[in-house]
Amino acid sequence: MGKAPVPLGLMFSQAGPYAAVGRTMLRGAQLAVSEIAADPAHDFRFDVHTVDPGGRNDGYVAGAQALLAVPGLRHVVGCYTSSSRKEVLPVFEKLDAVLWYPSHYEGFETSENIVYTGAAPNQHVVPLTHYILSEGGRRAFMVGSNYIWAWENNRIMREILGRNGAQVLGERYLPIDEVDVDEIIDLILRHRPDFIFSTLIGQSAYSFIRCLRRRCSQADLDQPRDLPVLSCSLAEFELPLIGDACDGHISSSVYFSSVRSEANDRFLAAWGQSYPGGGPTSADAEASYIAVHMLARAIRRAGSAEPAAVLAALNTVSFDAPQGLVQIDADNRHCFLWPRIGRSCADGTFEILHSSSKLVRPDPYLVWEPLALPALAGEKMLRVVS
Amino acid sequence: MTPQIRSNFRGARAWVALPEDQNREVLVRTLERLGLSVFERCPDATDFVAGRLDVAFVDADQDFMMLDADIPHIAVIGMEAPSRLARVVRHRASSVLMKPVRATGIFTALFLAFNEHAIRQREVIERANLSRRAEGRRAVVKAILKIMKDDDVSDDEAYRRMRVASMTRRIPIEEFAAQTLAASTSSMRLAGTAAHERKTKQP
Repeated sequence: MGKAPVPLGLMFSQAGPYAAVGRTMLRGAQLAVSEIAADPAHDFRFDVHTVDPGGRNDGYVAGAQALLAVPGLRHVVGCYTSSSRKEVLPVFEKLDAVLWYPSHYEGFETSENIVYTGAAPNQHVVPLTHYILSEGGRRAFMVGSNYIWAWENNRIMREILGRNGAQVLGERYLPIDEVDVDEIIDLILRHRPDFIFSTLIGQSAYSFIRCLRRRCSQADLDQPRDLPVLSCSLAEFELPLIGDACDGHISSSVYFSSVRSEANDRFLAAWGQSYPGGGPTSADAEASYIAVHMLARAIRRAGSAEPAAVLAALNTVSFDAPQGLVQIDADNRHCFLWPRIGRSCADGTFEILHSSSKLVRPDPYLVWEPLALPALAGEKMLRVVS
Repeated sequence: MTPQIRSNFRGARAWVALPEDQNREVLVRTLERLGLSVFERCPDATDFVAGRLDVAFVDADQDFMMLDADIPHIAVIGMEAPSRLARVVRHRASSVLMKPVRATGIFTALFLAFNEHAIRQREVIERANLSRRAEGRRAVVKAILKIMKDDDVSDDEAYRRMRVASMTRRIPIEEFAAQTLAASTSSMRLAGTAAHERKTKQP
């Protein structure tokens, strides 16, 4: 092909504790790369360089340095955990390059050198909290993996619950990868909350859900109805890893593989064709796919891959993504996205219970979030006195 | 009392006393993302009196003027020279920000400045209360001795009576003691309000 190559770095862990999600993110990005190459609207193709940080933060720093040493390489799509992102940021700042970060995260960050294509907290935990309040949930129990994702999401949910007359009965954390969850489940069964908010990740999350389901059956409880588990991270590829107990859990996400749209049909078809037997699509795979497409559109608009020109063109690009039409807020370089609430099914998909009626502007610092829900504000007004 | 931690600075007005350069640019852009508005002109005394500013960023490398206002201020530091840093300490900056200014760190600086400032303000009030009590202590002791002598009661009982009486009048016990001693030519009336006090001490 006669298209001019534009170097692009992809940096996703294919080994280590979150290799499963890293693999789906890499696939999402690579799918977009081949679509750009085949699309006559783009007069360039991406010349892809990949590194595998192996899930270690020093692996990310070394990987970013290696990628940015490639002549002309100014853009990298990559990272999954917040700690890896924070670790590589100084490398991007120093070399004046751009990191396209394609994952939902806990917010409270903006950077001159990062474009964020995953959901910010006002697009995941805030809509989830509003959903459960509107469903009558008033008594929460929080359980999470002991790191920033859990701490910050729990804080945000706790504040919204508190302002709306709901309460948190308990909050417990497990070390990452800890699978001994019995003690926490004892505690939860004693408290009998209206719902459980889980920010557990990986094996801890799967083990928790399996064990909770078993203990509920023993106690003659219908777990999804009596003690529903809510999260902002449970995705399609994790459901087979949970096994029999994978159904009936609530997840807040901007993308589910069950979204009905032409763009998603195309995405699913292309995914199936490129990765036969490669597992389902997921929110982080879609965010990676969006990142590459957005970058391509910004380069085309700017007429250059130079970071300053690309960043200046961000507010002019939009993309008909599988989740819906998305665009970038040039102000904070996060994306306008479509929050949804889904419930997992035994067949490994999510039934979509609620979809936002409008594109939601990213608010990474929760600056513009209303303090109380309008429908519940009356309740709250009574508590302001003192 | 557990202090409320503030994490949303929407609507706060900031004065950024930095020269027009990259640092100022990044700072102003990030503050606006955080929902603050930036005060464009150099504020004067009336702005402070009118409470038109909520936070100030001062350049620790320059000869900054100390603000005559009880608002949080953040020192933006380039040179880590003891002479400059000493001024930051003397002026009691509520937090600091390092140059070159990056988006990372600005939220932290604001967060610390507002919350640290609020804690200091509470401490000032607590300190004022403590000094008032310390100053009034001599009068309280004298008044206790006088009641013990006049009414032939124990020190505990004398203190209890004074406390009840000062609470009835809704004045601090130190003030009650001082009034009592000033009026000691007439006999003390611990219950109810003394006639000569009624004019000045209406709750």
